[in-house]
Order: sequence, then C-alpha cells, then structure tokens
Amino acid sequence: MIETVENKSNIENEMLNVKNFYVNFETYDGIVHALDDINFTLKNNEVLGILGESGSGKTTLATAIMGLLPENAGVKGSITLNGKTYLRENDFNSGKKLNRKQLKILDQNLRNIRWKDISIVFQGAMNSFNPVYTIGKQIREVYKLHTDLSDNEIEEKLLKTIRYAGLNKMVINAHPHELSGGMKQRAVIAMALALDPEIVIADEPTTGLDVITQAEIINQLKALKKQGKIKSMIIISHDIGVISQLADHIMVLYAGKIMEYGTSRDIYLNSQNPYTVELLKSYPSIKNAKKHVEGIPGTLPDPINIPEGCIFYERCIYHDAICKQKEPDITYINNEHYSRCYFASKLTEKERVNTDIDGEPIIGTEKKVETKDLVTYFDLKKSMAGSLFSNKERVVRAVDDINIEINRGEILGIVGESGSGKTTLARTIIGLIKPTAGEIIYNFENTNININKIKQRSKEYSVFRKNTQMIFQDPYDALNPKMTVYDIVAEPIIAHRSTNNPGEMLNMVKSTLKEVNLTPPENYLERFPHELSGGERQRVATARALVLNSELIVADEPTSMLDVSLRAGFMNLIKNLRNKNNLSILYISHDIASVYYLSDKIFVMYLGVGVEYGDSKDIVNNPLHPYTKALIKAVPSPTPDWNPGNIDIIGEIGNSINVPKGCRFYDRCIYKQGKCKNEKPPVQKTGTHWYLCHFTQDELDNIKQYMK
Amino acid sequence: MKKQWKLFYKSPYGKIGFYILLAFIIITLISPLIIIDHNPVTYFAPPEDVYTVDHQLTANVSFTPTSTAMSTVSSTSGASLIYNTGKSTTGAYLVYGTSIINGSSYKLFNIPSKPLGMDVFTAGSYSTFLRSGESIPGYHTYVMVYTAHHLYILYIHFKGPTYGTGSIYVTSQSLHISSNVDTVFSSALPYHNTPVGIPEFNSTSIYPVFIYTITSNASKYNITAYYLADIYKPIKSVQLSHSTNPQMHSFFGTYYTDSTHQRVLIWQGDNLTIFTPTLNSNVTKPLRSYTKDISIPSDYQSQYNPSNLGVFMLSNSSVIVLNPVTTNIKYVYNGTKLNYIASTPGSSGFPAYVAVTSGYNIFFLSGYHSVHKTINATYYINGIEESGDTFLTYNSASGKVTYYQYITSSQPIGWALYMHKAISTPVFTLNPKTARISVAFNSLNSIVIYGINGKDLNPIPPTLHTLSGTSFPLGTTSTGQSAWALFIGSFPPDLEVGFVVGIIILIISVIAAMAIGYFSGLPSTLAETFTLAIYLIPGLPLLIVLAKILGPSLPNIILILSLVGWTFPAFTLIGIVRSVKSRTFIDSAKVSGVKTPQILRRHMLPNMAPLLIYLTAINIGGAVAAISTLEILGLAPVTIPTWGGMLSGFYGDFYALAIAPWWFIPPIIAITLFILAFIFIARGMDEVVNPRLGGRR
Amino acid sequence: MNDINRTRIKYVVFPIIALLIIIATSIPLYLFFHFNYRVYIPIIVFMSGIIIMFIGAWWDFGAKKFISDVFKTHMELNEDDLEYVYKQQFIMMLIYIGIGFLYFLIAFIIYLVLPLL
Repeated sequence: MIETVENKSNIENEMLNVKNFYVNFETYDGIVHALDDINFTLKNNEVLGILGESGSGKTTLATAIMGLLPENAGVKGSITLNGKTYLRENDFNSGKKLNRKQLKILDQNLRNIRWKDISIVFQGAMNSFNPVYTIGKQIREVYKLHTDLSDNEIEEKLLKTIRYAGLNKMVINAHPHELSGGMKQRAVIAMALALDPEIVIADEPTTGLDVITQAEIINQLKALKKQGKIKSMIIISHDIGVISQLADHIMVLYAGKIMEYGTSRDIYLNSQNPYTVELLKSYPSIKNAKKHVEGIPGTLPDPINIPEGCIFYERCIYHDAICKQKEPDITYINNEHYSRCYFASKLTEKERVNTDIDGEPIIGTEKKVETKDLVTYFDLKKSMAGSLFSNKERVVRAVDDINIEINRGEILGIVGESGSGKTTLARTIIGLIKPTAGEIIYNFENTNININKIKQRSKEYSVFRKNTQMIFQDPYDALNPKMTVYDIVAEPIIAHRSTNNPGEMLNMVKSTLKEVNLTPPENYLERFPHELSGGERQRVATARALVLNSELIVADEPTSMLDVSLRAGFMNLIKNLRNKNNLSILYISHDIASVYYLSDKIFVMYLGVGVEYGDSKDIVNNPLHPYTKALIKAVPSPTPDWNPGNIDIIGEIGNSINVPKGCRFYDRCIYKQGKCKNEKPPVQKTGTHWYLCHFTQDELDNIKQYMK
Repeated sequence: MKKQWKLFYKSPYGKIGFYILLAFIIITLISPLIIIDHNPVTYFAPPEDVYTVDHQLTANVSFTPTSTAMSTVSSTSGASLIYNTGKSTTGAYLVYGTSIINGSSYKLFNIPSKPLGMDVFTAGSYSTFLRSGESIPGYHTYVMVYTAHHLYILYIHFKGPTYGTGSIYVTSQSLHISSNVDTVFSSALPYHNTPVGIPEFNSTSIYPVFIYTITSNASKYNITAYYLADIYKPIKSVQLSHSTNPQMHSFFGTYYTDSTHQRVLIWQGDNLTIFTPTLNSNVTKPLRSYTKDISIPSDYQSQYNPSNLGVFMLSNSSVIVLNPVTTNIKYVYNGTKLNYIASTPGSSGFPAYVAVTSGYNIFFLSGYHSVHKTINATYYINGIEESGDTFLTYNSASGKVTYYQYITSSQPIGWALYMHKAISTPVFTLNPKTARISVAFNSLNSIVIYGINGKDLNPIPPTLHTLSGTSFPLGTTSTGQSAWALFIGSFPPDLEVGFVVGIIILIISVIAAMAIGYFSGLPSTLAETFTLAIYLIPGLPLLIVLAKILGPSLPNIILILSLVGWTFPAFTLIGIVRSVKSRTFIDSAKVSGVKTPQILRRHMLPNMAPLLIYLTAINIGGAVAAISTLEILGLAPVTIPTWGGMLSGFYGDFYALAIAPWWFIPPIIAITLFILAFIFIARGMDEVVNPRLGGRR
Repeated sequence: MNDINRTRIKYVVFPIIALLIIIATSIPLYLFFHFNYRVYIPIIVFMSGIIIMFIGAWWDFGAKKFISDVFKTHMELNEDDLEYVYKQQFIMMLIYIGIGFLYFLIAFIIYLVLPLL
C-alpha cells in the first residue's frame, strides 16, 4: 500500500481496500482465471455497486472478501480492512500447504471479521432458510454463534433488527413458508445487520422478487442507509436499474476484469467503455415506446485460455487491430471515472448493424386458442393420502375463471407476480395439467379441438400435441445433458413419426437451427448442452419447439435466467419467428418491460384471476386497474433521478389458498371500499381494454382525492 | 464417455481394480490350457501318489530267522502272532511267536534239529473241543514243523484277555518218520482272513483235516496221509509213480462239504498225479510242460465254485487251468519266461484277475487269452502274493515290494516300498489293532509289518514331481485332488456366476426402478412396499432356505442370488428416477409428445448409466461373495470346482488348515482379490458419478 | 371426522379383501387337490397376518408423496401439520396390526372349528 500525503486524509476513511487482487481456481480442465487485477477501495458511508453478468466474477469477489474461497483457489494481491490485511497471497496459494497453526490463525482472523465487520447477503438466501425453524430462531442463532450475549440481550437486539428491516415483529414466530419472498429477503437483511457490521455485501438482493417488492426492498435499503444503520455497502447485481438507485460508485466487471469505474451519473450518462454502452442499451425501457433493443451477441471468453489483448474484443463493435494485440490500460476520464479501453473518451455513437425485424406482423382474426372460464385447482384432499393426512383446507385456487384468446400471429403477454398463477395457466394450456373446470378450445389445421372432450390416443390429440409447444424457463435444465443438440431437436420428429428418413430429419433439424440463428448448424449438431451458453441453450429449446412447425408456442419466462445482454437477442428472435411463420405466442413474464417490448396484447393476472386486458400500448400508457397502475410505477428506470415515490399498493401478495370472498385484490388495494370485500367485481370494458373492478376510473380518482 | 473413462482411470483405485479384473478374465480365458493334469475330469491324484506305506511295526527279534517260511495267524481269541522258526543265540532251533501288537516274542517250542519247513493253519477239532471244556467250538491255531525225520504238530491255545496280554499254551505232538521227509502239507489253508469254514468242524458236517507227508527213499517217493486228529495212525501210504522230485503239491477243495470233490495234487516234473484225500485212488495226467507255479483261487476251495475250474498252473510259457475232478485242461494264456502266478478269489467263475509275472513285468489276465494290463515293476519279481483282489510283488534280495490295489483303474499301484535289505516272503495277516489286513516279513533281525492300505499322503505339498510323474503345482487336497486344477478350474464358474447374476440383477432392478419410480399411485406404492419387504428379509438365511428348497444346481443358484440381490440397486435407482422425473427436460419431452417408454429409454437410462456401472460392479462382487458362502456351507453344487467348494472341506476339519496352507490360501486370495477389484472399480466410478466439489467446472 | 373414517375404511379394505381372497381361493384348491386343509390354511393365514402387520409398520401410507405435493404447490406445512401426519400414520399402523390380529383369529378359528364340521 503506497501512502502518499495527499491520500492520507482519505486513508482514514477507507474501510476496505482491495489491491492487485487475482483469483485462480484449479480445476480438472485447467486453471480458471476468475478475477484479474482488481483494485478498488470502499470508503466509509459509501455504497459501491458491482455491475456484471454471469461469469464476470462478481460472486467470486464477494466470497473472496468474506474469506470463503474454496480450497483450490489461488490468490494474489491483498484485501485490507481498516488497515489490517487479512487476506493475502500466502493464505490460499495452493502451492504451499499451510500448517495447522497457520490455518488456525487464518481461520481465527477470518472468523473475527465475518459478520462483525463484514456481513453478506447471499444470492437466493431467502430460499435457504431452514423450513422447520422459525425466523426468530434462525436470527437468534447468528447472535449465539458470534457473540456472548445473554438471552435477554439477544431478544432486545432481535426486535431492533427486525424493525430496522421493516418487518412486523410477528415475523419472529413465523416459519419461512408463511412469509412472502419480500419478507424473507428482509429477514435475510435483518440477519446480515444483526451484528452492526461495518460493511454489508448484498449479492443480487432483488433477483427472484417481483417488481413491486423489488422497489420496496430498494426503498428499505435506502432508508437504512439514511438512518445510518448501514454504514457501507457493496451491491452486486446485473440489473442496472437496481444498482443505479442505491450505489454512489459503480464498477462494471466483465470476465473478471474491471471494464469501467465511476459515479452512477458518469456511468449512466457518460459511459466510456463499449461494454457498458452496449449493456445499457440492452434494457427494454418502458418509457421509450417499442424502441428496438439489441443485445450483445457472442459469448464469454474461455476462462481457462484467456485470449491475448482485450477480452471484450470479440463482441465489441468498436474493436480495432490494436485491441487484439495488447490489453488496454486504464484510462482516466476524470478523477473518479476510469475505463479500460483504447477508445475511452473517444467513443462516438456507433450503431450496431441493425438486425431489424423482417417485415411487419400480420395478425389474423382466427382464434388459435380460446379459454372459457378456465379453472385449475389443486386439491390435495382429493387423493386418499391427502384426505387422511391433511387437517385443514388444502385447495390452491391457482387459476380461476380465466378467459383469454389468442389470434393467429399474435403475441399475448401475461404479466403477474410469482404466485399469480401464470405458470399454472401456461401448463394447463399446454396440456401438462388437466383443468378442473372450464374449456379450452384450440383451432389447428382447421379443426376445433376441445381439450376436455378428446381422448388421449385420438388423432385430434396428436394434432393438438404437435401444434402446441413450450419453451421453458430454465435453459440449464430443459435440455437433457446426455443428448446432443441433434438428438434434442429431432426428438419431436421421432415422437410424432413425421418422417422415418434420416436424411429428411437431418434437413429439418438443420433448417430449424438456422432459423434460430445457430449458424452454421453443422457446428452445433454434435455438441452437448454443457458446451453451450445459456442463450444458445434457449435457442436450442426454441428450435425444438419449432421443428414440427407448430402453430402455438407457449413461452414461460424464457429470458428470466439469461444474462441481460442475451435477453434482447432472444426477444428479437421470437419476434422474427413470429413474423416469418405467423406463429401465435403466449409469452409469460413478471417483467412488464420485456412483455411490453414483445407482445401485442397484455393480460395482467393477480392471484389466479385476470384483472386487466388490452393492447400493450394502452395498458402501459393508460393502466386502469389499481394493480396495473402500481406495477407500472414500480418498474425501475436506470436514470439516477428515478424515485418511485409511493407505489400505491399495500403489503405483499397473498396466497391462493385462503382467497378473499370478494375482490381478490382487496387486501392490497388502496381504493378498497366496503363492498369490495364481499362482492365479486364486474368487468369494466372500454373497447378491447377491460379491467376487473367495482369502480370506474372517475370513481377511483374521487376516492384518491378523498384519501388525500 | 471418454472423459468419464479418463476420470475413472485417473483415480488409483479404479486403475488397480481394472487391472485385477483384467487379470482374472485373462486367467479364465486361458484356464483350459494351464490346468496341468492327467485326469482332467476329476483332478484326482493317482493312487501311488496318494498312499505311502503305512508302517505299523518293526520288531527286533532275539533270534535269527531261518530260511523257512514265516506264517501268521490271527486267533479268534484276539492274540495275533507271527510264527517263525529261528535260531537262537545259543544255536538252538525254536518256534517263535511274535506279537503283532507290541512286537514281543515268545518262545513256543524247541525243535531238536534243523527244521526243514513250517506251516500254520487254523482248524477246529471236535475232539479238542470235547476236551477243552469250552462252550462253543472255536478255531485253533496249529503250527506244523518238520525236520528230516520228525513232524511236530503244535496246538497253540490262548487264554486271557485280548491282544496278547494273556498266556499262551502250547501242546505238541511229535511223530517220528523213518524215511527222509521231503515236505509236509495239510488240507487246511493257512489263513490270514476271516475263515470261511473250518475243516473238521462244521455244524452240519464234519470233515477232517489231513496231513500229508512226502518222504523219499532212494529214488522212490511216498505220500502218506494222516488225520490231524490222530497223527499216530497213518491212513494210507502210496508210492508215487514217477521218480522225479515232486516240485509242487497242493490240496484242492478244503472247504468242500462233500469230500468226493476234494483232491490231492502232486506235480513231478511234467507229470501230475491226482489223489483222493484218503489216497484211495489216483489219476495220472501228463502235462506238456514243467509246472513252475500254481494258484488255486480261494473261492474254488469251497463247493460254491460254479465254474468247474480248478487249479491254475504256470509253465515257462503258458498258463493252463485244470479241473482236478474231470482232469479237463484249458489254456488260459501264452507268454514267455513266465515265473509266478496268483489269482483273485474267483467267486463268480473265472477269477477277476490272474496275475502272471515274467521277470520285471506282471500281467493281469482278465479272461482266457486276454491281458487287461501289463505293468513294469522296475525290479525283478521274486514272488507274488494275493489278498482279496489285490496283489503284492516283491524282490527278496533288495527288499522292493509293490502292492497293486486298483487293478481296474489306470493307476493300479497302491504303494511301493524299498527296504534296501533282504526280506523274506511277505505274508498277509489281520492286524487286530487296526482291524485291517497288514503285510509282514522278516528283514535281517526284525519283523516288519505294514498296513496294506497305505497311509494317505494327501494333502501333498506343491511339487512338480511325484512318484507317478504327475505334477502338482499347488499340491493336493486331503482327498487327492490337485489343488491347482481345482483353483484354475474355479475361475470360469465363479466369474460366470458373478457376471450373470450381476447382469440379471441389473436388468431386473432397472425395470423395477423405472416402473416404480416413474409412475405414482397405489400400484407403485404397493410395489415399492413389496420390494421393501423383500429387501428387509435377512439375506443369508433366505439364501440358505431357498438353496435347500430349490436344490443345488448352477442355474438354481443364479436364480436365487438374483432374487435376493435385486432390491438394493432397485431402491437406489428409484431415488434417481424420481429425481430425474422432476427435471424440466422431462416436461419438455412430454410436451413434445414423446410417449412414456421413449422417455424412459432416452432420458432416464442415460442419466442412470454411471450409477448402473457402479451398482453392477458392487453386485458382481457381492454375487461372488454370496455364492462362495453357499459353497462353503455346502449348499451349492459340489460337482463343479469353485473357490468356495475348495474351502468347504475345512468347515469341520480345522486340522487340515494347519497342515495344508497351499490348499486354502489360493481360493481365499482369489475371492478377496476378486471382490476387492470390484470394490475398487466402484470406488473409481465414484469419481465419475459423484464428482468432488473440489474444482469449479 | 367422518371423511377421515371413510378414508381409513378405504385403506382397510385392501387387507380385508386379501383375507377373503385367500380363503376363497383355498376352497377350490382344496376340492381339487385334497390337501390337509386344517394344517396348511391356518399357517398361510397366520403368515399373511404377520406380513400385514409388517406392511402396516413399514408403509408410510402415502405420507411422503403427500408432503412432497404440499411443497410442490407452495402450500405451507407447519410442525403441527407434521405431527398430525405422524399421528395419522400411527393410527393406520395400529389399525393394520389390528387386522393382523384378525388374521390370527381367523387362522385360529379355522384350526379349531373345522374338525367340528
């Protein structure tokens, strides 16, 4: 650590100093370079945001700071906390094995730091609560492990922490499954804050939550920072909207290297690194109507064989010959803003080669699928074991009285939080779940097929099967890891016995692969899923859905597990396919921005009922239902000036077991009145745009005025 | 696939296991070539490598046995003596009796002058019975010694508890003969076996024992007949018609109840004179050649002889058989330089074997002009004795004795003996200690007794050269089987059982797991509970019970092992099937319209594959362990060689463990290595199936 | 309460029917083969009774699947619910053991009563 006079005043402020930090992992296939030359400092009362996609090394950095690197990690450089270097090169170098004493000392050092000085909220921590113990018990455990306080003191601290996290103290005696996702995340934050740490690391704090809860968590964190409960924080996320709300400085990571570093304003308004620029362009915005987004095509470089020169070279649109030869140095744009690029501060507006959507969609008027009062309940008491073992009502009213229709060539988007029943609706339409009541009528090959009336083995069933295909949410699990790409895409052909000729099959597979932009197809035929990136896998799943020229495709959150830079490309692909083949697509997501980008019509679901339906433009610009209004307001925009204000909604999503008798939105509606509780709301219609409420728009405005 | 092989090969356990398994398979494949055995079907060692002489007694005697023959008799009262004539240290001639039990000698009778010959036989005497005061008539031992002019009949009587711890009473009668005594013989047989009948004493008829003396006066030979009961009164005396020295004499029909078929035969040169027992009439039969040796099958001495045959006579070049009553002659065999002859009892007509020696060779004849076997005794045969259906040849100068026990088998020699000193003619006797026949002879100053059954040499230590020339690389077991042949011969059955059971279990458990794990509902739950029930039944007792019920044959054993062993892999696989079933690509396949069998085949199976290999490895090891257990307990087929079968002999006989390590160590090592190989392979596969979380992928 | 009993009866039907099947199939077999009924059938019924008892002890009566269904549909499960499940399992096991004893009783009756017929 070089101490100069100018920096002396800053040194006292510095909490965490990461210097020349490299991390390698030894694996069977070689040495994986996870982090390269990381340098940053975290000052007191400052929030640092780390922006990166999968494979950027952000989680490795977090675990390194916590001292939780696995045994096969090799470390160079140092991490210093408050002047004390607690992690340095010798500690993890796999070349030398530490003897017992050294290991003990290292362990002791780390243990002292963990949780008291630095605490971490892991990614997906809200799902790793022990379902058997109450929340209170698990937080008490934190105290018991790390401190010597008496039980009474622990109780006091527990209450305080719970309140800071914004939770009701009844949560202490609740079990994890009784809480919603947002509440669980707050409980995790409470655990992290339990010992008053100096630094809190939050790894993807809002992933997996719906938009509204996400906004609330962001608000909570902001409040905690203002109150001084959180002193310094490191936020790791892939979502620029979330980071820009909270962070003072942002560090952009790509494949283990820092691409750019600067204040939030600088990064957003004046980004000087091609990667940042392209990344920012990949987010579909709800404000800019249907602006074309283009992702960053290509894949991450191989972490074992790092190419010479700039690692972003292959995917960069500004690249030049010099970029390939030597890695660029850090260029300072101003005191706090630097970028690792040869063209920093020289970037001109360059547009990617426009892969425009070919043609305009032709939306027909024939309905491809129509549901009439579709009801899907899960009644556990029906089975023999269920009626023996359940002592209370166990009926999940997942889908209640849904009426939707999709025309030929139309994309219908379904928006809802998790728990709204959209996945169940998708699975019912695709035939994986049998509806409890109601009808679904399909129209394929000019015949009407009513799913309730046809038998399993009839010809109509196979027509239905052939024409209804699904793209699943998890690209990593949806492909059998032991089958090659050719096998996967050819499976539907074999299952439906469309052709026995292997030459014909090969041609069908190749042409489908070309359609989904996996060119040249011969490269991909013999590959296994683990050799493909997430985006490529999802394309293979799409190819599999298309190979039999099905007419209806159901896409269940296909982009939620992809990197941001790949999402845009995939969505554009869907659009292209729809235009070329006149497909009807049912697109389900919780992210209203991407739904808006893709769909022609939007259907908003809450707790199993559809609360609003209409043209996508209408819904976004003029939401009518209170829920939709709150939803639109809650979508974060990456500008640093965005303030959600009050998202006009109360509480968290309920559960579909004990549904209120009247309007299902009753518990959360700010406009609720007496009759909402007991009477089912009627449909309020204006043209093709309808919503489910007792009150018209004027009446709602009046109520709002009255409340003020 | 290649990557999995690399992972597997990298782990040391996998490598070692794989190589051990490879070694086993190679040995199995070349096993027919490396079993070195002359008798591949049963792997048994030939008897001459199995038995050695069973030395029972060497008794140093205090006298010098004279060249007269030694006779032996076992008395029904228990004492067994070997009778010798000998010269004491003081130069006196005596009749000695030496106990077979403890070798102590008794002086029985003083012979005034040098004895020319001795004979011992058993007879029962009615008059003696009357005189004896015993309640039932018994056999008694008579010793007959003759000198140049005297004949002594000794009646040996035992009194006391058994086995020679009583006292011996000798009563003697002596007869003076004026002419020169050539030879004396009687109609009783010297016996060494259980007596068939008693001359002169029989519940339904009484036939006398005759004593015949052949005396010479100038060139005239006389034969005189006496009753044993009263030797002082000769019955008749007849002059022999020829003046050649009678070289051979015999009494035919000792046990005939009807004395009309009894005959006395005297050979003089190539003339044969046949007398009735009381010498009342005679018949002369000229023969073509000089009779060197004769043999009367012991069963021909009784009236139950159905064959109308009589005496086998051996000349220099032929063997003929003569019926003494009808004087018919049949030619039996033509050979050259024939020396001695002996025959088996002949209870059903022509004797089973007639043994004829010629110099170094012995021919076993099994019928007229049919030689069953020829054996080279490796020494010049001086004489041949017969006992039951066994023969004994010897060379008296060097003391080499060979005992032929299994004439019908390919290895007829029971044991061989080399005394390195001169011996007298061996005689067979019943040893009361072992209740079995022994053979006794004089050798210098000792009497040597050997059991005729030899001592079981087995287990023989590993050796490449045995008496008969067969090689036993791993020695023999205690029954004479070649351990090497058993060991190598066990590889194919054991490996076969292991692999077949492993594969059957694999197939059954895969099908069951897919059926139970993939479907849900009452049938699947019932099937799972049923599987659980079978799994929980204790394995070994179930194996034993099933083996008893179904019977020990190889297919049955394979069936049983599969039935018992399929449940555990099924459970493991059910877990895997259930976890794979909940993965998204199964839903994706369902949506694509893939039918259930296709899903099971194309999606489930490949995901189960590494675990299948792992489980199969463990199954095969387990199957071999199970079948070895069954073999050791004796429930599995014993007709095929297996490792467990090799070990099953020890179950009740721990002594063999201590003395024969070459027998049990190879199968133990084989079983251990085999199972260990599969455990190692499973451990190596563990790396592939459960990759360690040490590295980031 | 009532439909728990109804479900329990549904579970109980299976071993009762098994018992009836055993007895029903033994009669034609007896008429066909003329074995010593009094000796063999009580033993078979007795052993089946033991098997029923063991099934009652080891079978979870579908509880595992029930709980996994609860989690799959995101329903909640407390400790009280778990206790309730265990209690029901225990009751079912007792019922099955009772049925096992019923088997014993039938075997006993066959053994004693048959000579009187």
